[in-house]
Amino acid sequence: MAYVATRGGEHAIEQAERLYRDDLGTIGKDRVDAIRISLPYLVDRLMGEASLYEPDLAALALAQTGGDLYEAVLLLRAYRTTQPRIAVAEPVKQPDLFTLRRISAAFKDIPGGQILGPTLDYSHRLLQVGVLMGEDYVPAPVTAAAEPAPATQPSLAAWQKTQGLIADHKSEAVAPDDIPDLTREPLLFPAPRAHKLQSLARADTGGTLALGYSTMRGYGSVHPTVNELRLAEAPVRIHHPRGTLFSAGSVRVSQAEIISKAAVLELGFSATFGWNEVKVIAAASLDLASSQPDAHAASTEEFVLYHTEPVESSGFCIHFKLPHYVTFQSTLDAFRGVKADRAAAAAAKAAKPQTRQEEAAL
Amino acid sequence: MTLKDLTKPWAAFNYGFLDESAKRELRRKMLKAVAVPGYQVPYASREVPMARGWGTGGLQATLTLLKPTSVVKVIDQGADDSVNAVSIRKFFARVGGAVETEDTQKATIIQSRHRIPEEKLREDQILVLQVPDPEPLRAVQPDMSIAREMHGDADYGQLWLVLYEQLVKSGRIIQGSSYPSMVNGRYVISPSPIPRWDVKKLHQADHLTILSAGREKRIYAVPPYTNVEPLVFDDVPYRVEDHQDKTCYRSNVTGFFMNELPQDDGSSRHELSDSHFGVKQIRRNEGEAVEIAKTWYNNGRMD
Amino acid sequence: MSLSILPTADDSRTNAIFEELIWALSRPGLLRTMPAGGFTAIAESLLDRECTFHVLGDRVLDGESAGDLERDLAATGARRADLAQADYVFAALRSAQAVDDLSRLRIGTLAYPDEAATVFTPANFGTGQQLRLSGPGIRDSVTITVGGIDASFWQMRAKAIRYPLGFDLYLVDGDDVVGIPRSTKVEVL
Repeated sequence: MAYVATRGGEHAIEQAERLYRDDLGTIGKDRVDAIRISLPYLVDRLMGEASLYEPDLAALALAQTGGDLYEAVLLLRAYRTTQPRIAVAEPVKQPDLFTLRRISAAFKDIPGGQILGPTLDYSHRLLQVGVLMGEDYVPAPVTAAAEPAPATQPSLAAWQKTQGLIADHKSEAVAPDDIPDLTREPLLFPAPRAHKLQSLARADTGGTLALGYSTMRGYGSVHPTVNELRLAEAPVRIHHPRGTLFSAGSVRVSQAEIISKAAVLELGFSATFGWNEVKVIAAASLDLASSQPDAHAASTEEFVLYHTEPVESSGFCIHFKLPHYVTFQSTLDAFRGVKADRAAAAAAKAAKPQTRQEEAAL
Repeated sequence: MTLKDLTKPWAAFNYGFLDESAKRELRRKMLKAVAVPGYQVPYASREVPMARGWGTGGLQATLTLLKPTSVVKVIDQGADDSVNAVSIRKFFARVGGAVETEDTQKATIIQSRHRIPEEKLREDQILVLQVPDPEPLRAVQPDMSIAREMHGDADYGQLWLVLYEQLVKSGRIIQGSSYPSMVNGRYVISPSPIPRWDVKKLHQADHLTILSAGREKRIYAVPPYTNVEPLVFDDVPYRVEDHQDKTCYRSNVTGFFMNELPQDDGSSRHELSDSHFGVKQIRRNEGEAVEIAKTWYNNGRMD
Repeated sequence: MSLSILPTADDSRTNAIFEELIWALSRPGLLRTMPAGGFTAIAESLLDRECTFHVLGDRVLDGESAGDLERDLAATGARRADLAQADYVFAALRSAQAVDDLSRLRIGTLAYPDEAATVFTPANFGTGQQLRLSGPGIRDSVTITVGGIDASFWQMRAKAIRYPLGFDLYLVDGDDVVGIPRSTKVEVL
């Protein structure tokens, strides 16, 4: 039994996990609540990448992984796949969104108005170090506007379509049940529009930014302008088996339209769970860039969608920690073979002139 | 009807973790894989509670086959007690109530990363190989859509060219593991990163092999009694690793695939890569009555 | 967290049927016996709303037995489709006309040969036509005797299969099943 004793894999992996969990300590409901309340944007980012809208579960995943975002996404995705699908919600149109923030860079003012809503865009990024000395950082109270913004806003793209500025693509009438679903079908290319948008919706924020940024900088022919950016609460309406349409609540969503200033005006689109502006702007730019003929290698559909998948890319990256000594041995054997061949050839070559010299000496 | 009628009573997870719809999809795709040996069937590849790249493809195939009477062996680099193999095997017991084994002969399902056991598999056993990269054409064509067309046209000229270039440059083919191999005379597969030593075990085997790539979402199969031929030139024979004369320092057995262990003095020692095969040999040496099945290789050669 | 380590009766049944199906397809010509029989049981283990089916003939494929195959197949959530689009075809092939009708089935494309039909057909084992099968899954060759299928079928099959394009076939006799994938060469003796 000496063979196994030197490895002891089972004990080792159990203790390794314990060490990790020991650092995090006991996880209780309080910690989960605190994460959900204090880190809503992180929870949002996670829910988007996990494609599972459940702030409590997302906060739990963050607690359980100590904030390792890729691990947290994997936890939620693995949970998500086991859940039954009992209904498909009704599609939501832009005017249905309870909009808290909605801006356009393409026009000074737009029908419905520019609504800044909650943002740090114009804040001075100063760390409030006083908090560490015991001074609470109390947010200044918000002064309500004289006239509250309407809860819903029209679609800017709809206005552009009536003006003939952008093409009015006929919307396909697809029954909700028949919408291609990336979580139940493999991604194949050319990807159906639904798969592409779903893939971008659950793409890694960092990866999407990296590729999106590369097209924005010029690796691609798209010169993006934010046509419309929205942070909203989307109503979730589903059909009861008896046929009644009812509200099952709402989810926070972000969506972005990017318009290009190329020969024709074209829109790129992205939407995701949670409020995550960087991701939807980058993703909508990639949507647009990857739809161009002869897209740059880094903004083709296949390249973008494969390489922004957070669970696949992070998993593959860390898998290189697994032992690879069999494959290495196999390669080693081939290289040694080549070396041995060369040595043998050199020896044979060296042997020949020597014979001639001997002959000469005779 | 109520919403409740549409669902089942709540359970944290299904038997075998995967839900029925995931299993049905895998069943459909596995059958297609068997029907067209070597062809990579795309599948949805659900997330499982393990990171991508860590055997999630093999895991899904095994979970679909799993039943409480299954006896499962899991190996990584030939070893049953390699940390990730242990983790995967525990998972099968945890979500499937499967019996765990390290003995190749006792297993009904063998999930493996990078090795095929030295003992010959029987026709009632299924081998599930974990595949990191299912595409043998990746090196010559990273675009999967184009690679798919090439498979459709059986356009493997570029692969031959790569092997030929290796021959010209290095004097021999230096492809280590994942040696491209022709299945049933039609599709070239990557046999997963098993060493060249193991590729021959797939040819006209008694058992069914399922190869599953979770991250890349492709599944393919080598049915029993199917030709699996490494791509070689008529005048340059296929060479397995030069391990036929190596002796395992623990079990004193010669003629199987070995792990090389560098020593402080600059030399190397060797041990059997198939760890449980090694354990059995040691037990036999110590006088125990241990049953060891026929092996694919005898005296370092395969017929 | 409690994990379910015992399969439900449904889990066990569908798992066992699949095991026989993959076994049968991996070893063409080998007779396998399913724990619960018939087309409905097969459908339950394979079909759902992500695939389509088509039925040619019926009264549970002319066994004139009780039940309603169309309804059972639809109950899986799978959608009815035209023969030329259907993933799973349940067809009685007792007449030359039925065989002729079947010839429109999908055989996949070179890029996606898996997008081809799987055919389940009633048959009788042990009487009728002698067939010699060879190909992957078969050591040398195997001979089976199959009745209940019109003689023209085997010619139609040979014509339809342009490997790797083609269709995969299951012969079903009660609880017994034989698989004949497109990779199998069938010689009528």
